[in-house]
Amino acid sequence: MTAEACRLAWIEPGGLQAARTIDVAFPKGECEVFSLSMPERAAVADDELVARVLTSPGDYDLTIQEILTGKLTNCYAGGLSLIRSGATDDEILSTVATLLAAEDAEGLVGAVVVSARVLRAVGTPERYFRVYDTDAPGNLSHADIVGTFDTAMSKSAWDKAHRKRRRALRDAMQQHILHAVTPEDLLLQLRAAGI
Amino acid sequence: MFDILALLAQTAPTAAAYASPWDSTKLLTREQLRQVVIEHAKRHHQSGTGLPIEGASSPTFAASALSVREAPASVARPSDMLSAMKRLRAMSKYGDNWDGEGAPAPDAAVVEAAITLVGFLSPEGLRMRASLDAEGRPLLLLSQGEEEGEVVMTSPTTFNFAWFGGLEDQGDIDVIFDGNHLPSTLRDALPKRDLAVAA
Repeated sequence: MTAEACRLAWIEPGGLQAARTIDVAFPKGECEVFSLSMPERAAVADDELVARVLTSPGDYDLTIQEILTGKLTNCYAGGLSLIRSGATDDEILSTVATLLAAEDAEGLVGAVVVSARVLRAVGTPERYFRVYDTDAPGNLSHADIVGTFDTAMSKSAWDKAHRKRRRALRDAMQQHILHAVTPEDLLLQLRAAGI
Repeated sequence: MFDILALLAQTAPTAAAYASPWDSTKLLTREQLRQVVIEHAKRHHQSGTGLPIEGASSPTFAASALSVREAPASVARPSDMLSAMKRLRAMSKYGDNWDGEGAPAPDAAVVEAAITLVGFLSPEGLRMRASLDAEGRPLLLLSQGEEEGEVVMTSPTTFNFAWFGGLEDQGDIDVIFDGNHLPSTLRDALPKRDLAVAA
């Protein structure tokens, strides 16, 4: 197991298969100690704060004030994007702008700010999710939440299981939401929170 | 019939304000609404109770004697069903990267099937939100009280579902959906509605 092997597992074939490929290749999470982006980049440490920007209605239901589990399916596809601590203002604002320009976005809700430890602890003693340093266009401070796969389960059992795991992730993230009305306001709050 | 009329009473006061969830350029026809009401009545008929059916067939919903306050809490909010249908309709037009994170465009035929399924789920008294998953497939997020679940349309004629919070988790994959009725495997997994109605 090498950093290069981990990166290859992430990018080939990549896309919607990235999460499954890397977890099947390295089911014990061996790759979390490496960056899947560039060798000189650091892996995401447990105590590092990361942020997941939320928009509505795609990510968040404003009427019941709850994160929607639909977007969390990204964890089992190409990864659920995060902003890492140390991101520049431009990187943060660019990320927010990209998400707000998406077809499923009507407004900014804010962001979940949480330590990687909290995300990795979902499902303890099992590991339901891993947090990797990954690539993103124009963003050096990027990570992904990636779901783990139980290949021993039957297809129908796994279908139920991963839906339940997303609920657990939602419940963990729900406790750590910063609300913001504008991207600039969100930037200030992220900085104040330690991002 | 109380719960059906409560459903109608909570909708727009006149049919003119009721845009069709199947085609937003058209109004919901009386026949379309009548089909929903009749389907619901077949499954929830209580002999000797209920208001006169004539009120249910009228497109003027204000004719119902029930107020919103009298409607049982478990009656599906028609706004949820309509919102879900309208949202799915909008999402059927999404292109690739609709989420800004690389998700593929949804398949219009699969979205249409999801819209049809929403119609069959509406009498079940569930809270409902429509979404797409990372693969661009329609995903219905459902809940009732502390219980929740989801249905993902995997093709125009199949779906997977899971339901959590009851005595045991339930779910199935590759459920055949013919567009004419709610498959029993899903219907049986959903919590039974409380049909008690305030006097």
